[in-house]
Amino acid sequence: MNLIECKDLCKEFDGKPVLKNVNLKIESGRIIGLLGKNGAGKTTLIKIINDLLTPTSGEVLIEGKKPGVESKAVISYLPERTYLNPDMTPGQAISFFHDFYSDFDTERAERLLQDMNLDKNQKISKMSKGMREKLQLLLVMSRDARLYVLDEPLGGVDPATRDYILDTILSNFKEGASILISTHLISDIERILDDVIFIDEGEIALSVSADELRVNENESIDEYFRRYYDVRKTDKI
Amino acid sequence: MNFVFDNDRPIYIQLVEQLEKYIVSGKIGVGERLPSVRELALLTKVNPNTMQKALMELETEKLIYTERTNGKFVTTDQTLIQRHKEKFAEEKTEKYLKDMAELGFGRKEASAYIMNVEGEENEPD
Amino acid sequence: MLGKLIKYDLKGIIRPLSVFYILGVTFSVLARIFNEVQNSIIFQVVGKITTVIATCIIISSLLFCLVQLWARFERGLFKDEAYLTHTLPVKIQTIYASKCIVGLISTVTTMVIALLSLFIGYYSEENLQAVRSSLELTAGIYDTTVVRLLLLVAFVSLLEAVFIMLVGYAGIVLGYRSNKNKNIRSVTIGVGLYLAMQVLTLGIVFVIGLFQPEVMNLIKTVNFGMDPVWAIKLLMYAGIGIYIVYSIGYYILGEKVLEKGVNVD
Repeated sequence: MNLIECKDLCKEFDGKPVLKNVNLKIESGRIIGLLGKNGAGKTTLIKIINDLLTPTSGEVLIEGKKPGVESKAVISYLPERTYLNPDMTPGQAISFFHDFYSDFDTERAERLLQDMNLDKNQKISKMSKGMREKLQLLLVMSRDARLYVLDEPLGGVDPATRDYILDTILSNFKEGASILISTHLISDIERILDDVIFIDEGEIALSVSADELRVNENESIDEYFRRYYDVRKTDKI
Repeated sequence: MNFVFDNDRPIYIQLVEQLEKYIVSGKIGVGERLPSVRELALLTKVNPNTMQKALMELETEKLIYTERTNGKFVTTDQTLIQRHKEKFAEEKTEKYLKDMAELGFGRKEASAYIMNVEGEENEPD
Repeated sequence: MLGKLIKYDLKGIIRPLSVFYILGVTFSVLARIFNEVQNSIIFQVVGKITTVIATCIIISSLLFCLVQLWARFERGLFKDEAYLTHTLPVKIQTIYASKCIVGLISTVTTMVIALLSLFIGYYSEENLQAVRSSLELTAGIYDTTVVRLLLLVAFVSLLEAVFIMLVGYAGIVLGYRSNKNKNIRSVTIGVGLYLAMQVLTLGIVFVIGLFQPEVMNLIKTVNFGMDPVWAIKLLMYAGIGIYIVYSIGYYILGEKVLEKGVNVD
């Protein structure tokens, strides 16, 4: 069974289509890059998978079932927003996750908290944006989920932190689990990708293995996408 | 050990090349036990799947072998290692000759350049 | 899971409310102290001022409680925190139930604290006597006991508060179904739902009046102490019944709409 399957998935906002007939399959044990420009529909797709948006038509199945309690128990999701109650401290956030997710590893979370030099007792409202992002990443990666959905985990951080974040992701995801990682910073991430899903103006423009793309096109994924947009630009002229 | 990758070629092929190099140069010793796939992936900062693929490739080349339950080991077959080493040397030489040919030097001239290089002979590191 | 949700929801709301509780009680105690000192004009003036402040805090704590409940409901289900709320492995019905139960608990708590503060601030032999006699008078008219009357008043106030809270929740849930002007829609729909139910109540009372002329008289003319007790009682119990039905209705409405799925910004 596929980990995720999208069937003719459409999403409109006030009649404006954001996702157009998306058909997609994601297997277990893969690291998949969901690539595309800002506004291409990456976050919309991710939010539908996480039950935060209701599709206009079509459906998404997670291990054969519609998003619900069961899918939420196996998906660990990192949104772009700060989704923690700002009155909480990291310590309280850790016990919150421990209370609700049976796959949450408190020890790992506390170890990562120390690694990241975060204060267990500092209020989240008093933290910088970078600190909050780190805290959320550690919470999400402290779960032994079957699918990690990471929405722009590298946005807005400096290159040194990017490496640290990628390391954290690689060293903490469970064997056999998949990672769906959305980004527009392709070059930073492409070396860890198994597969590439490229979404453009709400449509799946490409779904291929990363190596296949490199061998066929004889260039990096990043270069391929730059070329793709250049071609499109000249097409329009 | 330091691993650097270009994004325009499959990462696993580059991994194979670099691991081969470490084996033939003796940086990973003959018969040495390799860390687990996951540990190696972390060390090289690549996806575990990619590392797995690279190791499978090395296994088909017989440079490493799997001992049930104990993990993966570098081959103890010295002649095989030597053969790979020579293959590398040939490739490097070919590349040098090709580059020189592009500059308009013949094979003889190119090798003369090598003979004329000044300085002490470097100890291989 | 419901227990855990209630624990965190309650923790969240008690924090801001406790500021009001502490202020309310503190000012009541101060008012009490200042008012006790009889022979100083300054103290009397200060006492009066603190009494007014204490009363304002107590009244606004009730309003603040409602506003906090709505704000937290909106934040938790439709704003940034919704990204966590809706990705917890918990049914939406459970999440909604937790919000409503916590709403009920915090409303009761706020009312109890408000009464306590009032008691501290205003308690004196004469005041107690005055309240008691007026209660006894009313109870006498309606052929009931003081305790029953008090319980009834408390119950009706709570019912009204819970009803308003649920109307607000339903307004937010419905308002957030659209993609634009979610805030304004929520407020408009909430007010609309509230007014609709008030009109409906009047309608029901009118219908009852059609069959019971004495009840109709009750609505048409105000003549205190002269109305037949049974008619007033009938109206009272009908009102309570109607509000319970409304509250349940709005609870279910909110739940059903949420079950259809959300669209978080």
